[in-house]
Amino acid sequence: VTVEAEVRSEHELRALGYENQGQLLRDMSAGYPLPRILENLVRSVEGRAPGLLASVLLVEGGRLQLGAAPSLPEGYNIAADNHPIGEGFGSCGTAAHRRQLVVVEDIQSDPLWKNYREIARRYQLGACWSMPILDAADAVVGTFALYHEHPRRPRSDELALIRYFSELAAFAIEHHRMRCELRERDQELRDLVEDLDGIVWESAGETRRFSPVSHRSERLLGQTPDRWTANGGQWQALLHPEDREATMRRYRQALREMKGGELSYRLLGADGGQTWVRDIFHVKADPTTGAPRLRGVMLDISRQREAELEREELLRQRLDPDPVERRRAEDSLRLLADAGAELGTLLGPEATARSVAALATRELADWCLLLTHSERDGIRAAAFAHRDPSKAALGAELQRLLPQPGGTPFGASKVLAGGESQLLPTIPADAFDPGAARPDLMRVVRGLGAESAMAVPLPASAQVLGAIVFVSTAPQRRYTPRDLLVAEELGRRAGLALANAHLYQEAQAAVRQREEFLSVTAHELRTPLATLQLTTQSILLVLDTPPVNLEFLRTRALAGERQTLRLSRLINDLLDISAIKAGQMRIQREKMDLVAAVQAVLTRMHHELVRKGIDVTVHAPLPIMGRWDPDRIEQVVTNLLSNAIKYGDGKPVRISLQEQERHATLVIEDQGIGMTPEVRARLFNAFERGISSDHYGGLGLGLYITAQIVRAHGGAISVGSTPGQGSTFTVELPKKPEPEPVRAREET
Amino acid sequence: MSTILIVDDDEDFHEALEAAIASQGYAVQHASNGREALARLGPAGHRPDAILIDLMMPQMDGWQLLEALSRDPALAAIPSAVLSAAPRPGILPERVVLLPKPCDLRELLQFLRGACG
Repeated sequence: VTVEAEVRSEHELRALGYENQGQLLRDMSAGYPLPRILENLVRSVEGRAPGLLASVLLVEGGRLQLGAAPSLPEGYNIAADNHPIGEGFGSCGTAAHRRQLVVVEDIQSDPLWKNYREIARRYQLGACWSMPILDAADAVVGTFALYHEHPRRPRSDELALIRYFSELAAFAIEHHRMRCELRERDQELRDLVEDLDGIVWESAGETRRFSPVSHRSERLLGQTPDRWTANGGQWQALLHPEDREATMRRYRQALREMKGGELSYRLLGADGGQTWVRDIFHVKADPTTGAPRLRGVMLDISRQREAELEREELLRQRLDPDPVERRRAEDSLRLLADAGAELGTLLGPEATARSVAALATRELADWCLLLTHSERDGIRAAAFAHRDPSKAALGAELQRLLPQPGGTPFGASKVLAGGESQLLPTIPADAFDPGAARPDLMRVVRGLGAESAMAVPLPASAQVLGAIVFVSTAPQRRYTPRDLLVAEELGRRAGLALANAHLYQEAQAAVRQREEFLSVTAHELRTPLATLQLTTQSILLVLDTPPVNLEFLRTRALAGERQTLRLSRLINDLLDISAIKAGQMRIQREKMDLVAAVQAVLTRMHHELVRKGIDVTVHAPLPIMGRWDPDRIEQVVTNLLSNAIKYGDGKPVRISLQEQERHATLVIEDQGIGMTPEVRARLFNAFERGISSDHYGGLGLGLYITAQIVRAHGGAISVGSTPGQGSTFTVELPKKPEPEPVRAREET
Repeated sequence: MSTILIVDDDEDFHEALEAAIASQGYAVQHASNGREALARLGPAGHRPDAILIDLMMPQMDGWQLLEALSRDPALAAIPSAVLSAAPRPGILPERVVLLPKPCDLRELLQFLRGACG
C-alpha cells in the first residue's frame, strides 16, 4: 500500500479553492456546455492531487449518468454509465442514496462493491470515495468521486478536497439548469410575442431607434422588421403623413414624463394601403445607461376603427343642433336600412333598377334617374321614379330622349366615365353637357323640376355598372356633402344588387338555353330515328307479304342508309361543339382547291338538290389554291348550302368564288325568307336560330360551327339579308395562315 | 283506294312514311306545311280519307293547321293523327289521335284502317 505523503495546509486548500472558483466562473460566463465545465473541474482536481482520478456523475431519471470522468478508462465509464442509485450499488450509487460521503478503502473487500469487483480489478481501481452533490434545495443532483489505483484511506485534506469540489460541481450544475430553464422561458416568450396578432416593439427613447420588432410586422404591413430597425428616420416614414406629427409629439411627451399610454394611428403597408393600430406602450429607464426606453404592442384595429368612424359620423349627425339636419340623419339611416332589406331580394336587373329609383325618391330625391352602362347595350336610362305620380309621362319621355350623344344630365356621364361622384348644390347653366343641351330634353327637365342634384356611381368590383341621378325640386333642399355620402352608400348597395341581378339573369338564361338545347337535340335525333324505324318496319312488312318487291327493298335500304348518315352528322355537330367549347378545335392545313371542294359538296348533295328541285349555280372561273383544312372547308360549304336550301324557299341558290391577292372569297346567296337585323346579330352564336325552334328543325349549331371553322382559319364570315328577299353569306379565307386574323364584319 | 294526306316538312320522314303506307295499298298526297295542306283540301279538291300531321313545320305549323281544320266541320270530320317527335306535344283536340315519333308502323296502319273503314 502506497501512501501519498503530501498533506495540504488549510491555507493551501483555500487558495486552491479560490483558484478553481475563478476558473469555474470564467467557464460559466463563457457559456460553455455543462460537460466541458465539469471536465475542467475534474481536471483541475486531478492536477492538484496526483494519483487520484476524479469523476462526476449526474442524477437523471433516477439513475446516475456520466457527467465528466476524463481520466478514468473509457471501458469503465461505459460500464458505470446509467448506474442505479441505492445501497450496495458501489460508492456513488450508495452515496447518492445515503446523501452522505461514502468511503470505500478497498473495493475488492468492501460489500458495497460486491457486484463490481471484477470490473474494478480489470481497470485497476483500488479505492473510491464518493460524495453526493446537493443543490440549493438539498436534492441530490449527482456524485463527485475520487478513485485510487490501490486500496487506501483518504487523508483529511483529500476529504476536504472532495467536499469542496462537490460544492463547486453543485454550483455549476445548478447554473446550467437555470440557464436551460431561462432559454426555454425565453423561447416561450418569443413564441408568445410572434403569435400575438400585433407588433411587439422596443426602441431607444431619444433616437427612436428600434431594436427588436416582432415578425408579425411583415404579415400586418408587408414591412419587414429591418424596415424599422435600420434607422430612426425610416420608421417615421411608416406613419401615415396625417398622423405623423401628432404621434411623434405624443411619444416625445411620454418620454419627457416617463409615462406610458395608448394611442391610435395609421401605419402604411408595403402595398400602399393603411392599417389602423392601437399602440399600447410604456417607458422604462435602461438599467445600465438610465436612458429611457419605449416598449409597446401595436394591435391591428382597422376593422374596429372603420366601424367607429361610421358610428361617430352618424352620432355627430344625430346630435346636430339643427332639427332639419337631425331629421335628415334619421331619414338617411332608415333609407340605408330599407335599401339593405329591399335590395337583398333577388330580382332581375330591370326590377332591381326600378326598386333603387323608388328607394331614392322615398327620402333623398324628388325624382331619380338610374342609368346603366354595359358593353352590349351602351348607356340606357333603365329606371325613373318621381314622388309626384303625375310626372310619370314626363319621366317616360326623359327615358326615351336619353342617352344623348355625348352626355347625360347633371354630370352623370362623368360618373359613368370615371366613377367620380358629382354634387350640384345648385343647377348651373351647363348642367347638361354641351352636346346634350337639346331643347326637347331641357323642356322635359324643366317640367320635372330641378334645384339641386347629385350623381353617384353604381360600382361593382372594378367596374361602373351605371349611375344614379338624384334631383331635388325644392329650393330649400340643397344637397350637401353629407347627402352625397348617403347617396354614394346607396349607390354601392345598388351596384352590388344590380351585379347580382345580372348574374341571376345570366344563370337563368343559361339554364333556359340548356333546356331548349336538350329538347331540340332530342327532337332532332328522334326525327331520323323515326324515319329509320318506319323504313325498317316497312321492309319487314313487305318481306312478310310475298311476292317481295326487290326494287322497293333497295330504295328503302338506301333511304335507311341516308338516315344513319344524317344521325352521324348530328352527332358530329355535337362533338364539334364540345371541342369548340373546350377550345380544342384543330385545323389541319394542306394545299387544296376551294372550287374543287365546292364541287365535291355539290356532288354529294346532288340527290337532295334534285329531290327538292333546287337549282344551284356556281361561278368560279379558275381553281383557287390555298392552305386550308379540306374536311373543315367542305363542312363550311355543306352547312352554308344546307342553310340556303333550308331557308331558300325552294328558289335558286347562287355560289360564287373569287380569288384576291391574299385571300379567297366564297359567297352563297339564296332568295329565301331572309332575316331581320336582330336575328342577323345573333346568327353565329351557339344554339341560335333565325326562326323559332317550332318551325324549322335543326340544332342551330351549323352556322356557329361554320363561323368557328372560318375563324380558326384566320378568316371572317359575314351575312347580309333582307326579310323576304334572301340572305347572302360571305366567307373570306386567307390563302396562307396569317398572324393577324381578318376582322369579322357585317353588312346590311 | 283510300287516300292519305301527309303533312310533314321533313323530306326523309315523309318519304319513308309514304313508301310504308303506299306499300300497303294506300294512295298518298303530300304537303310540307299547313298552308300547302289547306290548299290541297280546298273546296274543289279531292278530300283525303285521313290526314297525318307533323307539329313542327315552317310557315304554318301543325297546331295552326288543326285550328284551321276545326273551323270547317267538313274538314274537322276527316280522321286526323298527329305524328310528333316533340317530347311534350301539348293537348290535342279530342278527335285527333297522337302517334309519337318514332312511331310503330302497325299502330299507324291500324289507325288508317279504322279511319278508312
